[in-house]
Amino acid sequence: MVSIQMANSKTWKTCVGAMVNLIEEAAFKLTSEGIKMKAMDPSHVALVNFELSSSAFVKYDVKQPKVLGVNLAEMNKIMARAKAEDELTIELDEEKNRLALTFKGASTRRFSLPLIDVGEEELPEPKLQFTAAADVAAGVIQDGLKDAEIVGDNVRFELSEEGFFLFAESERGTTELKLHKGDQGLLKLNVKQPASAMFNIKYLSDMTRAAGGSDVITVNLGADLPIQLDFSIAEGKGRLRFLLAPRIEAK
Amino acid sequence: MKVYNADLHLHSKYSGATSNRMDINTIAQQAKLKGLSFVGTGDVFHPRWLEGIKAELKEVADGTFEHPRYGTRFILTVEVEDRRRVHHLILLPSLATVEDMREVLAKKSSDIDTDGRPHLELGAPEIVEIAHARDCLIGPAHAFTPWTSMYKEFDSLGACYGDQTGKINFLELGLSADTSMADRIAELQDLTFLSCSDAHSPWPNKLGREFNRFELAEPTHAEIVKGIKRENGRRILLNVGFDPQLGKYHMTACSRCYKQFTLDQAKALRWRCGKCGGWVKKGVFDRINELANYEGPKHPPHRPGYLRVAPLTEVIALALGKSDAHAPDVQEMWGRLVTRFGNEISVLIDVPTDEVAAAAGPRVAAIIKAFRGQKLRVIPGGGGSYGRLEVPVELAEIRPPKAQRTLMEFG
Repeated sequence: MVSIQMANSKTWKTCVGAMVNLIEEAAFKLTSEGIKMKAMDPSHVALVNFELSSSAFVKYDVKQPKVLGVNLAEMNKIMARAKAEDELTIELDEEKNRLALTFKGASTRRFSLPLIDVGEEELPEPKLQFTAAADVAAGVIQDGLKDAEIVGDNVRFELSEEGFFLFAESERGTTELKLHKGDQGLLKLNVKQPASAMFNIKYLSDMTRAAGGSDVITVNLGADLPIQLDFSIAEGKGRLRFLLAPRIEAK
Repeated sequence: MKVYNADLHLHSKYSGATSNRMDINTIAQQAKLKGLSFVGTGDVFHPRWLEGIKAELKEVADGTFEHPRYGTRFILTVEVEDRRRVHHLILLPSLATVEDMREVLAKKSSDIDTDGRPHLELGAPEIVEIAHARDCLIGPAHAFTPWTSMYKEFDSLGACYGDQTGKINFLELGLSADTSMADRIAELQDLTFLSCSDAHSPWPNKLGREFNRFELAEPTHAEIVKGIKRENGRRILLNVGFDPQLGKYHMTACSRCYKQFTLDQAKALRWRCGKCGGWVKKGVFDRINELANYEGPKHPPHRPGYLRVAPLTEVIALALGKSDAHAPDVQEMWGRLVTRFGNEISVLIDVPTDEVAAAAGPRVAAIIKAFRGQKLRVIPGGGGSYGRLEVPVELAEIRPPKAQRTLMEFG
């Protein structure tokens, strides 16, 4: 028996929207405590780690742990039809092996999605020794990525005691974004050692899509290490974490 | 006697699906960089192409034309399609023959004015008769491929050419076959094999990707004819061409999604792809197995060796970790090597690898060395998708790390 309900569709919609460009299939693990999902993109460049506590739901009826394998692209198409304020109900039809999604707003709309077999093996997560972290307003990062996109495919993240910086350069030109200690968009800065690494903008844009402009993204960085981006969802009752491997140009 | 490299089958910009850079100047320039002394004009019945040949090339011997700037020599050639959609390659001796033959064939073709590779409402024997009466050489083009070749339509030379079979001078192997495959068929023992590019664009991974190394007294059409007929000591010393697995019709495969099948699987599926529903086309590998009289190759004494090569740009792309042979840094490296060593064929086959390393770095040199030693893996092509080269795991350290790292590298 699985029957869960959220007061509105916004959280689920934005989370699926942020994951769908990275991974094709997802295995959502439901327990009495909440929902977890961890998956790597097919090229093993990005990892998504999603957690949502049962307290984020107005109704959460999960009697036994259950793994629900879904095609995220199909689920995203359905969620695209939801209005943000629609009440969302997700139910499992075990007999038909399908998931029912119901949006309740001005009318009640019901969609059904076939479940798929998805491997349940535990994904290894790299153990990373980050040397710098910062809490940055999501809108600042989103702006920096859009700036960088003008000149190229990649952007360099830097964290130092002076602040948080984004740089992009190519034969088409350069862009830079500087956020100094004390600036409004930089809420927290913790630098043991300055860190810098380069990343693909397309992946980062997909990852940061779920955040609203005023949300806060926690950035963890090391020298030429993967970047870790965390943001809280459902008013702190859940977390979306992304890891992205760097680009390291051959000498 | 001297050695001349010749690619005798290509198409101009006036054939279907060809590059608009297939103009005489570009072909002549690129042929020189490739190391070809001769190319076929291709498409010689097309009125505008013929005009260009007359205007831009100088006739230096009967039926032999030279580009004034690059020195590349051209002989008059055309590929025609018969009423059964079988392609034949023709080498013509003179401009007068081109005009005369064109007039005869125009009565049997609705597209001879518009398509460089005209369709003729004639059977193969009639075309041979017309060509042979005018001292042309003729033979089946890419003889084993599944769409427009002799063996896609017929099971023997005789079935295709009838009473004119004895007038066939050569057989073009096509990219998906080589001498060892074709010499399993008894009826081909006496024929000379040609290895030609059938290029639709002039760039170095197409033009001259297959060629014939002739031994001739002088670089003329008359000597080429003797070489093909194996007269007076003139001959083809070496056929140079793709590893057949790199050809796009080597394996039996779907022509839409390129999924490969065994012959038995394809028959069971009635030649419809089990994955996407597209048509499955019989690969040259399977077609030759059907036609073969011998388990292995039985080379006649006159048969030259066959050297398996791949385009240098693709070897460089592999060394630089690029998926596209047209990528700017691949082209830049190709230009640097060809300028330094004169032409592509020298770089690919002859120049010592330590000299390549000095010019292009150790990684490119290591891949060229691996290529020469046949250490690169070949993933076979089929259904219209070319095969590709891969660096085997044991040589992986000579492949550059990809700039985009994976999370697995940070375990």
